[in-house]
Amino acid sequence: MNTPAYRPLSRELIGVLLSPENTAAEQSWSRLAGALHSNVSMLSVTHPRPLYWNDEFNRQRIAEEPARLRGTPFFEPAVANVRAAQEIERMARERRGTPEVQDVVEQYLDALLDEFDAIRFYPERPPVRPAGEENGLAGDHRAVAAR
Amino acid sequence: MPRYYYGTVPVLAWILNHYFYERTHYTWLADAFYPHGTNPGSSNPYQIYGLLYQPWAELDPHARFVRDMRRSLVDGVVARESAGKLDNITAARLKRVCASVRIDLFYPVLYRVDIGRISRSRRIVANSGLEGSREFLVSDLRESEFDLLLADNDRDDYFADLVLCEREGEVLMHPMLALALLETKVG
Repeated sequence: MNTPAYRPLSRELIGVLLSPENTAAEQSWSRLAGALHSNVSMLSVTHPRPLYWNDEFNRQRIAEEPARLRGTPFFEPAVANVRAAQEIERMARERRGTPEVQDVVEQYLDALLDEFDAIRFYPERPPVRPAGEENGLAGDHRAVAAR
Repeated sequence: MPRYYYGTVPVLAWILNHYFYERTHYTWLADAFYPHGTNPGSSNPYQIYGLLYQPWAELDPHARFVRDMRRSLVDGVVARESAGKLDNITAARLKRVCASVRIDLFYPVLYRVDIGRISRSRRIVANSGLEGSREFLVSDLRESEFDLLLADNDRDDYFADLVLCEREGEVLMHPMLALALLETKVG
């Protein structure tokens, strides 16, 4: 199986998601992304612990929200993102703490948060990070130390 | 003798918990401010403090670390809305605040908790806590159960109105007024 990864919405799809007739889909996408962020953050050693985490509520959203997106262009990426998160959780149960699993966790979260930024800044583009600046806690530390 | 645990949050988290979540605080606590060698960075109050303080002090609107905080603060609002504890209009306004409020509201504050006052049934151990990291999640911390510690930022009237006076019990601001004040910092 390929390395599990978050599949962010394209800029074009974000535009569709944020159109007034897609309010319900936008809310579903946000609820699902929130649940995925919350659960996967719990596996990270660099991203901060989520400021809200409720396993039961997350499981419920992960089970229900993709179905609400059925028939929209968001359904397929939603299902892919859920499956990737489930695969990461399986990997973490088996090989927790290994650099390989941590890399997968960090990349998943970074992609999810890049999409979060793309949505909240839309139609503008989010600021571009300086080349070489890393993600997560370690990256922020290095960026601060370099100033 | 008190046995203190510590947790760092952006002040916006304290404000949401105080004004909109019945003064019940959702808090990760480590067994030291600097749990060197035991906790990962994700549950190290000292590291989190620094990573919030730096962008706050430099008014850096694009700090990547803050994105995690924004995302999970939005999620907290969603949870309250889903539980019927927030109406959908207030929830929508709060979500916008969490997603877009200026970095001022991510000033770090420290919770200090005498863990002996928290019953074992309220101390949730999860993830790295199961593997030796010295941390608990307390999802229902009451304001009488922790000290709110600030390093500075006590001369800012806005901050004083929303946080300091409330902490001292001098003013009890209506949540809708607090929300209106938060919205002045959106953008």
